[in-house]
Amino acid sequence: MGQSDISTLKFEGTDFSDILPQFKEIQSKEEVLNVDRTLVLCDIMYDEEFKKLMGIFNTLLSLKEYSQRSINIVNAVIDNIPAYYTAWCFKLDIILALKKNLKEELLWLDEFTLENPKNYQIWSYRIELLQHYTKNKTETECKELLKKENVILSLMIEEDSKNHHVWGYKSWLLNFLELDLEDLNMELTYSEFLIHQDLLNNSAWCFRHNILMRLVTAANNKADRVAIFKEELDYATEKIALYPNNISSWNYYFRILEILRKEDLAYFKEFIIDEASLLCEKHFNNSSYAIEYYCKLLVIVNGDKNKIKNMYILLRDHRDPIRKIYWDYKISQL
Amino acid sequence: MSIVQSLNSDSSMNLSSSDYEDVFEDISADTTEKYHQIMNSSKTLLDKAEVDKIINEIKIDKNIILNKSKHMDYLFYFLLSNKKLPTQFNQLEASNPWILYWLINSYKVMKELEINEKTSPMPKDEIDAVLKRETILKLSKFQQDNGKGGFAGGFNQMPHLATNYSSILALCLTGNLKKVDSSKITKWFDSLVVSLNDHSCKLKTSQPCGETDSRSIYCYLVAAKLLNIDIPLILLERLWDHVSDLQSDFEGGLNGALKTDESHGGYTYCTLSSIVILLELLADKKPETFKEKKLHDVINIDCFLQWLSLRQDYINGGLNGRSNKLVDGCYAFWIGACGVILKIYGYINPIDMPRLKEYILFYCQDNDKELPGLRDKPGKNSDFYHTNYILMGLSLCEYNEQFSIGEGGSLDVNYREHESDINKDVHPVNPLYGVPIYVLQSKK
Repeated sequence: MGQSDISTLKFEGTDFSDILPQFKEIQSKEEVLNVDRTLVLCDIMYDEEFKKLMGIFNTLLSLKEYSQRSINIVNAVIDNIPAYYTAWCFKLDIILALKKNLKEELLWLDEFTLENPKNYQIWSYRIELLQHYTKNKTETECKELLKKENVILSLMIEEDSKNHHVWGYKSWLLNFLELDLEDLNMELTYSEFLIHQDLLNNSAWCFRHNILMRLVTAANNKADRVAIFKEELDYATEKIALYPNNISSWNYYFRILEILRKEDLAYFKEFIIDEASLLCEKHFNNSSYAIEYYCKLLVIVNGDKNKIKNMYILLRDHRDPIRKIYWDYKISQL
Repeated sequence: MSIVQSLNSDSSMNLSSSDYEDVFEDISADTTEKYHQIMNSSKTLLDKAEVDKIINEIKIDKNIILNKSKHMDYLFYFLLSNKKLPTQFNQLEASNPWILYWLINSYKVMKELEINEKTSPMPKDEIDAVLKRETILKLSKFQQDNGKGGFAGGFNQMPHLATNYSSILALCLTGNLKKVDSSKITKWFDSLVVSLNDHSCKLKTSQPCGETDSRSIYCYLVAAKLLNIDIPLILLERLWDHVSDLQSDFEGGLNGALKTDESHGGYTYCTLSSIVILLELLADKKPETFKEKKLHDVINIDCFLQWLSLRQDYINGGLNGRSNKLVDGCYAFWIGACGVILKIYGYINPIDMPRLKEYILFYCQDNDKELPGLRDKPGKNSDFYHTNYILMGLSLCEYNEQFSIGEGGSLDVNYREHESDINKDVHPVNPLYGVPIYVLQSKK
């Protein structure tokens, strides 16, 4: 490459000639490590411009140079390869060392995030930034933060409503910030909006379940909790009717039913069992989940084992035969 | 309970399961009319319909087998041709060890081809010798602390639990593990532990920022096991606290970060494997508490089996990673391995493995154009990642009934030989470590 000939080092107008000796040192170090190799073994081909960028980055990293020009180089590396985690780690060190305005950094990150929705690194970086940002912040400021974070999150979810990273971050955020009833109800409405958009969006159903559990914890008496459960059972019933072959809405219905049973057994026995049986019977012919959960219900109420067994056989042989092993297992458990 | 009563006299129940296809047609015809509106507005259903259509158009030859020579060509091209990967691969610059693990493992999982100059660039012994020499030369460039610390994703990068994991596996596959100087890996491991002294203890994939989910724990444990690195009891107990409290109450899968998240095949695999390995280590270090503990003491097996069994698609036999998501060949490993692990440890594998094998052979390879490599699903291109996990998934299908656990625990997963083995195109893999069993046995 003839690196030894060059006496200046510039990248996009910025001068890096002062670190040229270290730059050359790192390059020759890699060359030495490559001397014994006889096979490229999946090395990736790079153009000269990219090699120069990485060379400068490597030099700044090894010098631990915390400076604005380092930030610019780090950003260029991240733009080229969003998954280059070393650059994210270095960036965090620089931003904190230079006491950069974290609000501005979050704005930069928002923009980057929207362009790279599938990336892993953005979220752990965001978590670190937020943990530093919220130090010594008041309650009101944290409340503002939730609103702000929700803007970017809902944009991301609009783009891809099942993005696991985005949902994982949202889940972390809800644990990190203290949400009041108003916040929780807003989130519940949001889940309703998403489920309305796509009834089979399981991520949205899981999110609703998460929010619901928080609402239930926040409710301070049994009557309130039972009222919430009843409302949610109606909600799920309505969604099941819209499209019965949807595991998410059935899971939801029976999860609520299970908690309700623990909360208020008398009420469960008196009202809910019949309602749930009716729901299953109604959809018996258009959803195998109706039969599956009918069996679960019968097991709970100590129903006739023969009937349950026959339903499992029906599932195994006709309605859901791909899960044959599971149905045989359920029969053996009776 | 009228329906239930009528069930008792339902004579059609005696039909064999192979007759189920007509039943489905009836039901779906009815469904289409009644639920027309939802079917045209739900993105989930529209996406699924599109995939079903593409898959439906593929002509099936029931006798199709793994196109080993094409897939070997694919691997040899990238491993041995001495050509660099094209520039667009630079997105993988932080994942260099993964590329080596995926490719070398795929090669090692498939059984040897007949020696044939056309299909193999050199004799097998020579290939193995070249890979052994070149793999350690390449990966040691990425090892920190003057070749004694953790492995990074590439030259001059920071060490990371995921690339350290794939490096260790690649070195294990090529018989290089004994050559690794891991004297400073422990120090690096320690630096990744956050708040060891309280119950919010986490393990970061890298410092100062990185993920703290069960993937980081799994990668850490596998590396420690393979390198015989001792993990202090306090950390084992903290990690145990974390992974043993990740089962979703809502769905039954094992989550990666919080039990309130949506269950996902990849994280479920990492969490289950971590539970198994941790239990083994803790039974040794603190027998009074852990010796008698079983998986069902921390996992609700019933709910877990339900969630796992729901992953399989009745039309094509493939697996998805989450409820109401599309099938993807890579879950043949992530989910298939969960089933196999449960079976090895005395429970059952709820996945219909013969049907899963059909998905792999019919749809994960392009039988029409005979393209090299394996893919997520028809309509997608093959890649290194999918080739590896689909081949391992195929191995789990082939040896599902034969796996057993030896005296040595998780590293010693074994299999009973069977006369049908000779017709299999892949070797049995260890479902917890993601490499062929014979590779781990030769390590002993």
